[in-house]
Amino acid sequence: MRRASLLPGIALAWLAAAAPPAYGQGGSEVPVVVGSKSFTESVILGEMLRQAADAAGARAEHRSQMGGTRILWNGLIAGEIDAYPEYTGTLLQEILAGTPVAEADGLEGVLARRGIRMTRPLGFENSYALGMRADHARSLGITRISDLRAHPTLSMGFSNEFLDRGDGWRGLKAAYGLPQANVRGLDHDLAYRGVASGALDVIDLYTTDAEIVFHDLVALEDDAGYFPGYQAVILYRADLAERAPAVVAAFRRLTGTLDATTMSRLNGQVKIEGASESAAAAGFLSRTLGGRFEGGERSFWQRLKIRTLEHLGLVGISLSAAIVFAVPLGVLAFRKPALGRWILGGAGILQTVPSLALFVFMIPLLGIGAPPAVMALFLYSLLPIVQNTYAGLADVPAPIRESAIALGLPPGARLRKIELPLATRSILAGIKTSAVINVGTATLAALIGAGGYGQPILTGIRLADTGLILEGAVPAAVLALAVQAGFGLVERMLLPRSLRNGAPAGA
Amino acid sequence: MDLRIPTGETTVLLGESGSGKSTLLRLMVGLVSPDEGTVAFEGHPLTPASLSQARRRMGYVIQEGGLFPHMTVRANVTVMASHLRWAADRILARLEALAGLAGLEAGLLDRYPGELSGGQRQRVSLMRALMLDPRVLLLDEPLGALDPVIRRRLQRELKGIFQSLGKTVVMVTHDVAEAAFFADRVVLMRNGRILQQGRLAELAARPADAYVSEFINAQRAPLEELEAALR
Repeated sequence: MRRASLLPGIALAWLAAAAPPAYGQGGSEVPVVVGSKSFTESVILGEMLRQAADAAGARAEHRSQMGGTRILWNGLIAGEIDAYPEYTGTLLQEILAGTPVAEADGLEGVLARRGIRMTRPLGFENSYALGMRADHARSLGITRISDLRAHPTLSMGFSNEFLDRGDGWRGLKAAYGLPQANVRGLDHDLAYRGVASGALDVIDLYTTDAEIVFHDLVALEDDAGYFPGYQAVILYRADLAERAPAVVAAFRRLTGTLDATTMSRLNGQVKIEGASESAAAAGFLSRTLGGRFEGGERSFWQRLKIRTLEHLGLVGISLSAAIVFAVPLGVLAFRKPALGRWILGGAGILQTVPSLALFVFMIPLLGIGAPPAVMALFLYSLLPIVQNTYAGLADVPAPIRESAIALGLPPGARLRKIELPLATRSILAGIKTSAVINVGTATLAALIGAGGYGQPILTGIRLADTGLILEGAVPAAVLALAVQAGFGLVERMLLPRSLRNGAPAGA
Repeated sequence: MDLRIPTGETTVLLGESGSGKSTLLRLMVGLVSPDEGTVAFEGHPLTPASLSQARRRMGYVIQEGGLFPHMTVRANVTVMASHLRWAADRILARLEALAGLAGLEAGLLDRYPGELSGGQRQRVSLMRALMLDPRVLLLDEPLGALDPVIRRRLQRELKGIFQSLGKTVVMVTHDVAEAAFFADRVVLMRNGRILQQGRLAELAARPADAYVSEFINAQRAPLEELEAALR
């Protein structure tokens, strides 16, 4: 939480989110941050780790659905998270690709050199596979991946990670000589819906996915033995063993307890029966380890409050900073036209970066969570304010500008007393535009672990739960409207009656 | 071009649109700077450093008044005095004296420019120009946007004010009758050059070239037609 001291609003929200639900009250707990990737199984495992750490006396926080492998791994290396669930195949093929590792035995040594430890396997293997609807595969006579060679027109939809990574589609295509050209990347959960509806013919699967049974899919046999083993393990930082030995011990107790059938059933509880990840994790822990584990379910209103605080923190900090920087930049652009072209151009280029990409670009610089999200939102909020400040100043009619000069007012006083007041309406309009864009764009911040209204939207997409999506989308829309109305009031307060209601500036 | 503005007199810069008379006035107040040559005020050349001091000793009034739309009449008139940190009672006394001089009702002081008539705006603009008691008043078609009745009334009042204050006045107009009414001296301009300067009667009696008499007489014709029609 080192960075949080810079961001009190966010820190409050985080503290609220991290407050332990029922276990481990007391003052001397060690903070432990657990991460998980953006798919259900990882979130359930992350919840298990959080609850196990809580029960072991730590003050554990679970940053759920932080993104893909790279984000989690980098977060672990940087110490932003202490532990997360990972798969040995991913470690070998993706994270340590290019690093010589003799066998799985050598893996621990390679990790240790990076300050990372790995538990024994949890007990199940979640391998990649290619899947099709069972009836469709039967009608085409496809049972193995090599059978796909005879059907070049099949449409394929893969999770973006599978599409890009070395052990994913590219390697598979080369290994099997697959001819399909109609391949697109999309969210894993959307892919299931696509294949179920017939929009896609072949998708990538995780072999413990509950949807395989639910949608009556078959996993095609990997007859060339392409996919490596993907044993689930827990990765944690070496220093965690010193800081919180009880937590590491609790993690170790989970090894060997979770077989593929159980994992698939837990996935099903969440994705198909609609249980929460924390409830599914708590049920498993209670049955396996004994004792009472609680999911820490929050009521709708508690969730809404936390998400609202997070969202307001992101928007409030980034927008305030944008105002503080953008208005002077707009003034500078107006006063120094040569420099102004660069300022307006630069702000314009920032705006052309797709917002999602901007969020991800910030990760190497600022890590994960609120700081990079605030930075991305800040950068994104600059242009409308800079532009409108510039335009507002440039639109001050020449006779008025010259009258102020002829009076003998020095440049600073002219700016303060004449030009900025006359540009107020334009500047406020710019801030309003920025604020509304900011409120909407901040829903993407959940993708890099910053929470906010994007969190339920993300979870809702993953679980195909429209209610959850609305739980994020509706408040975000309401907040955008409230921001708009709020600026109407600010405008009334700041503008003298002569400048309200569209009175021309040159009256 | 070589032009001296005598102190204590009213000089009118006369000419048609585009003749350069407004530009000449803007050179005097430093809104534009000369490509070559110098503009001197009270014997000292205007430089970027001396301009802000010099401007406090000049009052500048333009056609539409150039009032600040977001400020009340009171704030418009006193903005520079406030900036110079005059005492509040000094500002108030000066404001009231000017309102009396310019014939502006006290009730209008807290209105915004958009809530005033054109004539009232010009009175306010004149008050603003006079606030620091400048040596020189520079007026660029100050009455150009007013309808004839108001314009005539303000002309009389303005002339009375100029006479009572004894200030050096430079006024720009294209209206020969207005020039005749105000001017001690006129400067007739065309295409950025001074064609002739002196008393208007001299220009009429001994025009430097055909254009001078054409310009002066052009505005006589409608008057003669009007007189004929009324006869």
